Amino acid sequence: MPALAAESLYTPCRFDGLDFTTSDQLAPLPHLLGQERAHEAVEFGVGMRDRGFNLFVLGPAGVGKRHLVETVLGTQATERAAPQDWCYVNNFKDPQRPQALSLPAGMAARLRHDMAQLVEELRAAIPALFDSEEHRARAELIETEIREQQEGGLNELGQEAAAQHFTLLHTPAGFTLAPSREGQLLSPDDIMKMSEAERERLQETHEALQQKLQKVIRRAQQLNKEKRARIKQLIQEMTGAALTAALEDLRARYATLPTVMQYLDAVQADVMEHIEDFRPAGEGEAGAGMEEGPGFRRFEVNVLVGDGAGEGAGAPVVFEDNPTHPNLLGRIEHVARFGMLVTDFGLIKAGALHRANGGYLVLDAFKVLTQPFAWEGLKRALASGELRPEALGQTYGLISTVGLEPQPIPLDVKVVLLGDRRLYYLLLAMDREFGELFKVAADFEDEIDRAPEQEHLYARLAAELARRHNVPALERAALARVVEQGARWAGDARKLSANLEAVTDLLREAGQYARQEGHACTDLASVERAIAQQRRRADRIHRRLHEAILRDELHVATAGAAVGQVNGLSVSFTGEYAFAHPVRITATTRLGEGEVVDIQREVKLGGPIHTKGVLILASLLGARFAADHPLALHASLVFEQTYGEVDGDSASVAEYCALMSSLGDVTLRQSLAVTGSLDQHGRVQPIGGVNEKIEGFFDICRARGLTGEQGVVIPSANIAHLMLRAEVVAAVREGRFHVHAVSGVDEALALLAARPAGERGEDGKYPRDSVNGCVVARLRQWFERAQTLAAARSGRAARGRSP
Amino acid sequence: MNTAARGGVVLVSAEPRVSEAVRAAARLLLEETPGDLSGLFVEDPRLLAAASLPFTREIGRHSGVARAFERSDMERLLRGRARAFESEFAALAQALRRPWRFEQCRGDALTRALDALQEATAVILAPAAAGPEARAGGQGVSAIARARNVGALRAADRLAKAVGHPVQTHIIADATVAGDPLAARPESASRDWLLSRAARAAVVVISVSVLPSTASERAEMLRALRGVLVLVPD
Repeated sequence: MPALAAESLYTPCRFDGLDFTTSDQLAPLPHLLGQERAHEAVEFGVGMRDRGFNLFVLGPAGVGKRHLVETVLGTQATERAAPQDWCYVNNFKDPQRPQALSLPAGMAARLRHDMAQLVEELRAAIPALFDSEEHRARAELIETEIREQQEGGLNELGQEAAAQHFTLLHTPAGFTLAPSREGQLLSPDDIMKMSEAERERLQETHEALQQKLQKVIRRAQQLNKEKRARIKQLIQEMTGAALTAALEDLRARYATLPTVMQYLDAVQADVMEHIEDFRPAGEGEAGAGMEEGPGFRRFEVNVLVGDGAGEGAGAPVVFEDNPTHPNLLGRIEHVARFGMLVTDFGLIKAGALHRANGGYLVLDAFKVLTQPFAWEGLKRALASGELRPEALGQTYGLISTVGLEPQPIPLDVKVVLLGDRRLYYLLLAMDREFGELFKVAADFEDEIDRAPEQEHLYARLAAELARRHNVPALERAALARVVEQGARWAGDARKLSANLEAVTDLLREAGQYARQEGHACTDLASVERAIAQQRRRADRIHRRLHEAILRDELHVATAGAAVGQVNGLSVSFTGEYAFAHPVRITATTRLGEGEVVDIQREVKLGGPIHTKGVLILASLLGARFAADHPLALHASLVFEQTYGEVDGDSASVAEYCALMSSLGDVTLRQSLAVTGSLDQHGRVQPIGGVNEKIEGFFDICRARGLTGEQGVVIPSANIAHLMLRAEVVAAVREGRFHVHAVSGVDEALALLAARPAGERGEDGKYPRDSVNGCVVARLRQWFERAQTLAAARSGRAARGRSP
Repeated sequence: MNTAARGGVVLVSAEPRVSEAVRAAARLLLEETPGDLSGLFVEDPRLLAAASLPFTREIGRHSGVARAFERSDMERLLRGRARAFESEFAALAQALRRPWRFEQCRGDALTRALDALQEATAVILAPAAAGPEARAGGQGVSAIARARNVGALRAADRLAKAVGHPVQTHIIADATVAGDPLAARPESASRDWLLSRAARAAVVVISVSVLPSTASERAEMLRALRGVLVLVPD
């Protein structure tokens, strides 16, 4: 079986027909390479205005989802009109239900400014009215009139009392009526000296006067009430005209906006109702008006959306990187005042949905789903088409205080979720509303087809990324190496990785090395160094395993021959970094009843796919060798020195070979490692991580010294995936290492056993010296032995039953 | 009256509290006089007498409710008010760093004030029990004096500056003041008009010679004036 030629192990990028020296000479790409389908989906979803046609952009991290979405939205947004401004104002009739006002773009901030000016104007104008001579004179007239009436009542009563020989006295808390004679109060003795009839008359007179005094006092209270009403009427009369004049300009400016006009009417009515609030606090008056207090806040305009933007700004595109519930849907804040938490319309804060209303909102799906209540809140808003800010603490009973119920704001937004495929399909399966709200999926490719034309485009993409990130221009060879590394990341010589982030990171690191070396351009050596350094930074575990094998702590033979023992190849991942190392697979066999035991599975360290591989292997064994008689064997297979779960079926070819070796007592070459999956007919199927596996075994062999005997057996279907490191390719070219590709398991067995596997002849028998021949002979021997043992057991049983 | 020495200032009150207007008046007046500050709390004996009668009741000023009116209650109340006044008066005197004396007596506050004026530079008469308008106080300073009483006018001017309001000085004019709008009016009419204007003042400075001759008329006038009264001799 000839080994693969060195040329098969690496497909270089040549840029045939492309004339350039450095990446600066390459034109930028008009669109994202290889993502045409996703691009179309995004454009469709963004352009579709109907409700529910929100987007879920799915694909692995780093493929440019956000960049593409940003580009498409940026274009779409400029073509659309800027949305309406939104603000919250006080609802004077019911302050717990703030009123939402919609204004043309840019007008909300203007209204806020106008209202602030109005209040300033009124705070100056109304006190001036209060201080005016006209107001003073008229108010004084009212007060004097009322006071005269009050005092007149008391004076009249005092005179009436005097006429009836009583004196009206002022006590600390009120009044009293005492009998007097010639200006002097009577003493108790004077009263005692009176006849009973006189005392009764005196008492009756006192009683009558006292009732009149009470009437006078009640009348005085009524007069006070009347005075307050007349003063209020006077104030309203005087300030009404001033207020109307102050509002005149505003009414003219907002005449075309009925909701604003209604609001201004409400403002006017409220100012008239509470005109005293504008009066400065007088000497000795406690808590008068709203001077410096929070009261004037009720005339403020809380601009939720509309600060800074204006007409012509286009539709908003909002990226919310911290999509908590409040950040998404807005919040109602509270402030502590006199030990209580209070709130008002001015403490309503916009969320990302408010800011994106009339445009686009881009969110990371995972972040939304992991923030408490955020996903439910987002769905509720999209389903209802309304935005209703809420205080989350209050909604869930964490804050017990008076809350707000702001008027909802109509929502017209296109939400774009970015996430991976697993999340998308999970939501589709588990969340009933998800499909209704996110009807458009834009599925990004992980890989791009590799052909000369695509290589050119990939180079242009890399050149653009380099320019975007200020990486020194790449030399032609360096750029070719980047393309080749793209194929290596894809794990396929005919594909290129779509992970733009990985490409960008490689370019930036290579650029940094080039700068350190004082190169004007990023050269091939810098790219090679960047690739090597990326690997080196991540390969601590790999190094430890490598070291353990070289110290023979992990038993892996790379020379000699052994029975029932094969080098398998295992791939491991530490984060994004994948590496492989050889693992010893052993098999033992003995007389039995046809069981093939997978020790990994027995100890629950075998995954389901590995178990499947072993069962296929057992099935193949039965199909080949149990046509004439049952298998009288007991076999067991194990990955030696593995202490974690093993999964995957890529070791099933190796396991089969180990089993056959044990059965046929045939030695296998330990200078080879084997990888490949097996089907029930003995065909070898492709596996993943072929490059890492070959390199993993090569690294061990090279460390021990390449003998020219060593190599790896891989499935033929994996040849197209080979993008091996340069040192492996060089060793193969020099004949110091080999890569063998096989299509059937017998090819692998022949390579390992260094003898033919053996094919059935016309007589249906395998050649005696072939591996399969040896296996058949051993199985026949065990079968006959089993027959003999069964007969002996039968004989003993029969004798036991005889009388 | 032996409370006040000649040249001192006497503070006469039937109220327990010393208002800001009283403090301002006392401070300003003491700046111009070397004498002591004397306090005189005047109890109205008629209240005690009335409370002794078998069927009298007190009618609440605001509530209009009639309630029991016992002499012992009234005495206790007046004692308490006197103590409160003395306490505040002492604090005021110490703040002004002047020697002080305090006396509690019975009688008519106006009469006591006029008696004190025989010896004192000025008498400050804190407002007697009156309606809510009087308690609320007013604005500015009014002076009721004859044009020749420069001392009264100067005191009014200083007080006006101290209380932070423009002075409203009303002078009962005699015929020698040319152009005075009140010159042609009879004195009684002028006084009435001035009283109505001065009723809103925080402090009213009165030249004693302007006061009516009979006790009842004086009492009536002072009640109408409200606010803090500063009596100055001619």
